[in-house]
Amino acid sequence: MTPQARKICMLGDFGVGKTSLVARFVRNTFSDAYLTTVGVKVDSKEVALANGQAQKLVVWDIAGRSALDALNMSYLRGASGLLLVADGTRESTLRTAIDLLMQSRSLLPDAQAVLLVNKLDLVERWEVAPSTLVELRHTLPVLETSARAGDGVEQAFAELAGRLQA
Amino acid sequence: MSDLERLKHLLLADERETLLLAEQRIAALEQANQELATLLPSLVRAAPQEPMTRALASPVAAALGNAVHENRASIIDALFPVIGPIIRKAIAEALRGLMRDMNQVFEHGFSPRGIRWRIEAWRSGVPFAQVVLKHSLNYRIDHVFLIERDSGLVLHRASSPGLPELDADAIAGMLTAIGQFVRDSVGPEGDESLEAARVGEHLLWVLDGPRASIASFIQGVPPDTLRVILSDRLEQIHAQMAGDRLQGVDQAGALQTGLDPLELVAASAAMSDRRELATSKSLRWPVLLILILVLAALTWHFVRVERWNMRVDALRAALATHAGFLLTDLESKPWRSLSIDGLLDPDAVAVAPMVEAADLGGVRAQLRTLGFVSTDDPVLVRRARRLLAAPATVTLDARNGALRVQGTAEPAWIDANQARAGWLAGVRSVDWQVRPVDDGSARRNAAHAELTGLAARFEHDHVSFAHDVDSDAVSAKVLDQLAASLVRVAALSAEFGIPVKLGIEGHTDSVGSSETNRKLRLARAVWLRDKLRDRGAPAGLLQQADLGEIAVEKDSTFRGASLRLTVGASGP
Repeated sequence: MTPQARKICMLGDFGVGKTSLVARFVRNTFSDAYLTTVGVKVDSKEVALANGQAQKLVVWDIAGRSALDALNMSYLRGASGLLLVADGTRESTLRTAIDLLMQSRSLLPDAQAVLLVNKLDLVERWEVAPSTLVELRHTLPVLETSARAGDGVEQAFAELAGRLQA
Repeated sequence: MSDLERLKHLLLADERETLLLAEQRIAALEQANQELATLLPSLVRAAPQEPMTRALASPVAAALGNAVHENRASIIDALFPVIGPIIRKAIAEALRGLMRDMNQVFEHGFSPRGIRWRIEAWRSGVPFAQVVLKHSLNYRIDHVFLIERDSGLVLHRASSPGLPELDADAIAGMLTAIGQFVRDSVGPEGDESLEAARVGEHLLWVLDGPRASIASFIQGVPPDTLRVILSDRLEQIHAQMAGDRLQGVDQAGALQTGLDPLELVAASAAMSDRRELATSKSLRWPVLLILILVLAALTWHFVRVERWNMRVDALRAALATHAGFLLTDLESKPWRSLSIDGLLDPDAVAVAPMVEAADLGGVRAQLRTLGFVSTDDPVLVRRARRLLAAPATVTLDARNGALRVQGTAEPAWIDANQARAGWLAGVRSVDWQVRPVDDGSARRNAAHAELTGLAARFEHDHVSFAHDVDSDAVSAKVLDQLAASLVRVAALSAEFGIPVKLGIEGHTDSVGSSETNRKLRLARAVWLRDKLRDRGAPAGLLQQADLGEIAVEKDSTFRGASLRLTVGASGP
């Protein structure tokens, strides 16, 4: 039986590694050129959950922005989950991710959100302090990932998928 | 407590308690009623969906009916923003369908393919509609997706057998994103959306509903009925989704979509068949009518053009034969414009009146002429008359450049123009036959000369007498001559007005007395007058004649009588 699909959106500032994370996670159906032309690229991936069930995720990789315009808000419609992506080497991208989460709440008040702090392979150059992440974990799940090395990517998507099932 | 009070207490204790309880209950109900107004919205929200909607359905419908009845303006104001777009969309859909139908009718009716299909239907005996259907149904529905409009998630999908597997969720999502992108780019405030896209033989149709969209991936050229069928399916799906009964991805499996590609093709073909059969008969007359109208319009056009061409040809022929005009160019646009270029001799008759007289139906011809010298005979005559200033008594004629001038004219004019005529442009030779004007002086002079001659003859022609007044035999002949001469004198004098004076004289010899001789001379003069009168000499002339006697010259022997004529000047 085909598992039910859920729509999730990738949100984050420019260059934080959203597309790299998706590329690491999913089979690419469409060209990355859609990101520059249409502003979004959609792919899908089936995730195996801890309970043995499967969850299909339809991943909307929205082009990197520091704020959401009307078009991007329309891309968010109907999403069940959000993957907020920040670049650990740029603390400002963490603030942007939080801002994007706040903006999206007006449209998706009940959407599950998971914060990914990317570029774990460059951890020695991180600007984001561990204490900040500890504070953030009180409000939403935070995972450290490396799109280059693949560390934490599968877990991040599985975390969100699990929350969607709950 | 008095006895009465005690008694009342004993008798009415139960009733009093009941009354008190009733009063308390009424107070509680009033309190609850007051609080109900504020609590009602939250209570409605908290109530179970199904029984609440079922309970409210009837009063809400009645209330809505009441509101429509009593407060129509408010309802119209509220619904207007919704109804307008719906009506517009319905009209647009209907018009689009009409245009497609018309296109199809024209395409099938007049295109080579349509004619080929008609021949095939005629040869095979199969109705034309079936032939069209057979040829038009060369399409295939590869995939049909039912997509949740907001999220872009796939609610249902169906594909034709034998096609490779595809990521329907990603495709549906991307399609939704592109649709939103297009809508946002073209008109973010409108309800318009991406309806179709074509890449070569592949066609994508998207039909949007309020909650879900149908996306069909088609190969070939589908009939319009397929869109109708898909719209119908979409409406049925929305009917199932209404009332939150089947909403969202989780309940999508319960939907009866009817979106199987083969089933859709079959339904579309059946509808096409019914429609073609229903309309094929009614289409004949309109097509025939259109054909007749087209033929009539073409005939009218050709007749009109032919009428114009005939008129222009007639004008062209008239211009070609117009003396002194050389047609160099004629541009004609039927019933729109006429442009004439040519060379015109200044002495030729003007061309413009002829062009204006041509019946061109309100078209004003443009005439442009340049000057030149023509050798046409009529122009040659006009030029000669103008340059020679020929009087009315002179007629001019030309043939092949030979100018003939004839008539009478003043000698001065003749002297001035006879040599000049040969120098006129276009004149090869001159036939000059102009006589000077005759004023009668020559004949008058001749008459004067004749009279003078007669006067001279009268001096020699005498009548001789032997005695007294007896004339000799010779004198009778002389008398006849004298009488004839006098007739001529009277005629010439009268014709040319030359004054003459006749004298009749008698002569005697010197013998005898002078008195006797004088009487004899007078008698001889009278005798001669009478004799001449008897011989027919003009009486007037004789009557006015002087009867005289000539003094006798010494030794004169002549005895007789003679005439003496004095002629006046010949000029008037």
